Amino acid sequence: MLNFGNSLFLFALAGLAVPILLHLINRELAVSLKFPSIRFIDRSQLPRREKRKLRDLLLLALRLLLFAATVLAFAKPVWVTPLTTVAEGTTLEQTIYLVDASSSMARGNQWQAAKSALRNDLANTDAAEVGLVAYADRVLIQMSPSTDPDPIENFIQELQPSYSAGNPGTAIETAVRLFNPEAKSRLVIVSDFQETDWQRDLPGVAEDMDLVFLRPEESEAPNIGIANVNTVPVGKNQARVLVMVRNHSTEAQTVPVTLNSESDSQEKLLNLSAGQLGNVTFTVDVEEPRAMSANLPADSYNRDNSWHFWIAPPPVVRVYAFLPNLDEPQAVNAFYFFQTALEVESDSDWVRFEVTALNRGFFERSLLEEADVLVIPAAGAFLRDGQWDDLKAYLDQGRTAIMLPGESFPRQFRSLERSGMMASRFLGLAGNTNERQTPYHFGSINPSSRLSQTFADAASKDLFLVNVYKYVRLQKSDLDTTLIAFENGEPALISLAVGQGTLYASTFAFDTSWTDLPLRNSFLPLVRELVQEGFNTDRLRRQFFIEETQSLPEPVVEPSAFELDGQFWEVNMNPSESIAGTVDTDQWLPALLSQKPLYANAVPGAGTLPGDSGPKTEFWPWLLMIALICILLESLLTGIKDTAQSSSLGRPNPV
Amino acid sequence: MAVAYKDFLDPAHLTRIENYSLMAKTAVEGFLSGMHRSVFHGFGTEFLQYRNYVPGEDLKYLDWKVYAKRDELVTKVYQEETSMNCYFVVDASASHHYQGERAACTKLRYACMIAASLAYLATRQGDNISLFAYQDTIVEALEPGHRTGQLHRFLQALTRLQPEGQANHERLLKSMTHHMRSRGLVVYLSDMLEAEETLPRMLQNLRFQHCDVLALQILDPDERDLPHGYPVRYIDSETEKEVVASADAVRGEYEKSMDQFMDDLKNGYRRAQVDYKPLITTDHLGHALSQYLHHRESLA
Repeated sequence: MLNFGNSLFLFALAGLAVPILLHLINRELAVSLKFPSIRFIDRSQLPRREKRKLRDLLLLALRLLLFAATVLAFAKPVWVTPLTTVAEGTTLEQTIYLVDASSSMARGNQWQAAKSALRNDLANTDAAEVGLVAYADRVLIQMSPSTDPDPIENFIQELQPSYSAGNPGTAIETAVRLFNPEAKSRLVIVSDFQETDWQRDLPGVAEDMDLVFLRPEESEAPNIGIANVNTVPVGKNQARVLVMVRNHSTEAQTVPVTLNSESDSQEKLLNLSAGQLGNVTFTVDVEEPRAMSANLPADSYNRDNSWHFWIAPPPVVRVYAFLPNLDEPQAVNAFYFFQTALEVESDSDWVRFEVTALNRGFFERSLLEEADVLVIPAAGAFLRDGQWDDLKAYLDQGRTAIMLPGESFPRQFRSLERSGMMASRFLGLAGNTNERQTPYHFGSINPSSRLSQTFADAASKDLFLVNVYKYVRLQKSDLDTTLIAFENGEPALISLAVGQGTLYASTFAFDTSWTDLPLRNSFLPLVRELVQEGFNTDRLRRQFFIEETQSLPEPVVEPSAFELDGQFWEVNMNPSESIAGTVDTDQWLPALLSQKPLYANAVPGAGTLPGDSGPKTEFWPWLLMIALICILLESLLTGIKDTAQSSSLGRPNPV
Repeated sequence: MAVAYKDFLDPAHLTRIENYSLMAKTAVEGFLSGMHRSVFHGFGTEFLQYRNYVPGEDLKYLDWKVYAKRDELVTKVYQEETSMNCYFVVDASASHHYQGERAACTKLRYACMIAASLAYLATRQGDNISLFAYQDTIVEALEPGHRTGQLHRFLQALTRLQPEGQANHERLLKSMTHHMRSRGLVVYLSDMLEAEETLPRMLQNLRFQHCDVLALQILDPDERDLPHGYPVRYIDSETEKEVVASADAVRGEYEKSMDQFMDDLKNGYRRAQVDYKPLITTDHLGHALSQYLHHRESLA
């Protein structure tokens, strides 16, 4: 059977009329010529029909062939082996049941209805061979068509909907491959045709494949499901739990939301309009990590009635600030600003900071070991040579330090250069303390840093309005990373890689004589993000949907919250399975499936992939070769014709 | 390989020289080098008488043969010939834009090459040259003169000519008679199309002004034989009228009409005592130059 990959190109064959018209027009048009005087030229009848030359006809035929071959080549004609009868007078008929076992099929009594419909069809089918493909997010089982329907019946009996979202694409591909290419194929899809599953990229099936859609009766009972749960710390020992609940029914509902753990239980009522997403908040103690679940009462779809999560104290980040000289006002001011910014309770950060000041005598390696982040505000100049080594050793372990300049900034930056921690070169001070009329402003944030996400969009506006009255000028080296740069391109905040760790060096002090940054809104997020840049607070909690765990070494089959290797795992069902919308199986879905490129007929046997070699013949290379030959012959003939014309006095220059 | 002098006069060769000055020099010098040496000696001066030598005079004027025979020092006295006005009249109407497949240049270019060559020759002989170029009005007019730069101005005027519009012969010849103050030679260059009755009569009027007239008709070879072997929509260059014809079908009648037209012109000019020479744009320029020299000699 002849098929076309791009059949729309066939319309271009209408263009065959163009060469014919050109030939006809060429024959009848007189050439315009400006002549000195037409006084003696009488009007004459043009010859009615120029003698048709064989060469002209051949040229016309060549041009037609060239055009047709080119158009057909673009239409990608393929000769595929047509369906043939297995035996003389009979045709093998095969039916494959594609069963949706995604979580949404567990709604109401849909699963039982689906199995009944399948059994009913199985009992009444005329097909000689029947097969089965069951799927959820992946193919769960595939049974090649056989004459014995009993294994299918047995398997259906055992099969239960999984907790995963559905992905029918791979299942359809599998089912199509299972068909015998020479058989008359019938694909029966048993599914709820939930739109979140079926509005994905679907493969195509052969146009002559018989598609049957078995949709079980939908449950009319209301469904309310949990869409998500968030936890944020409140104070040192408490956390706020935010449960988001969606009403999927068409009527307003009042539902009790329960928060359960091994030790206690809380309940709150929530009113939800039709289709509304609502929140309910609980406050719980978090002295110890514990697994919890948010629950709803039973309804038509029970699987979205619970959400498993961990509640645990936020990780404490210990920040040590080196304050060797309490008479140094810049150092004290910077420490105060830092401490205030870090100890603010934030709903958005699952982290808690503990800021401790270290006196001169306490800056030693053993104490530093306890710090997650070390801040050296205006005190770099006070570090002795041995302490620079201690700092370097501390950073080598993958820790983070933040260094701010003070009055003795030359000594601090030269020491950084000398110790090899900073590759940039110290140049001096920019700005005049006495004349603050021309402050400097930030010009850019490094797009690959965490700061760029925090200060995206409107949040960045305030940061770029910060006034900096003076700063330490550095000749930037490529080895150091600039996190924030001034408008003139000079670094304002640089990141120095020291071993496994990072030293953040500001070129201006966090003091009002240097800048108004500590007094602005952007100070708090800047300091907190800077501290967290080197401390990943998300590393303790791991959140997955069921189907996402399939790629892990040990897939999880049911929603749960558990601890594994010191990490808190939260595995829940994908809330997309609660969506009640379905796709149109009367027109949209059959049309979508049949519009895709065909390969069922082209595949020689079951189990081979689409695109594999088979009994199909591609014609386009031959057509292109014909077109090429036509071009050569056409050029040759045109050349001969031009030579002949020019030898017979030639035509004048057209007007 | 030596270049024959005829090659220098071939329009196909000369039309490649953009500069009219260089073209004219090439054509004329080439033409003269091919002529017999003695024919044109003595132009410009004429022997008048002998007189006795006065000390201080240039010795080059002494007649040494007389001294040898009679032992007397005598000096030859020449009389300067009166210079003559040479009027070149060029028709620059749109019909002169035509260039057929066989021609190397348009009719106007050919006419200009002839005018340039003749003007160069005239200047070389000390004559005054003048130019009138016209379409429906006079587009270039140059008073007679022979001073330095006159030839340059003449050639520059030729360079500016573009074939446009319809030729108004009558207006040209009327205004030209007002400008002519002395006798001379009028060289008239035109395709003379559709003017076989009026032109001989009008040029005859110039003879009444004591001018000798040389009428050179410039035609493209296509105008003689209509060679096109395919249907053509002929558009009249000057009137923009159109006629569609198959040249093969009308060629016989056309050639007859053209022959009749040429005969009428020839007879008309003969009656008007105007010398007439038809030229085809493939003819080499020697025809025109020799015709001119013939006239010039008769006038001298």
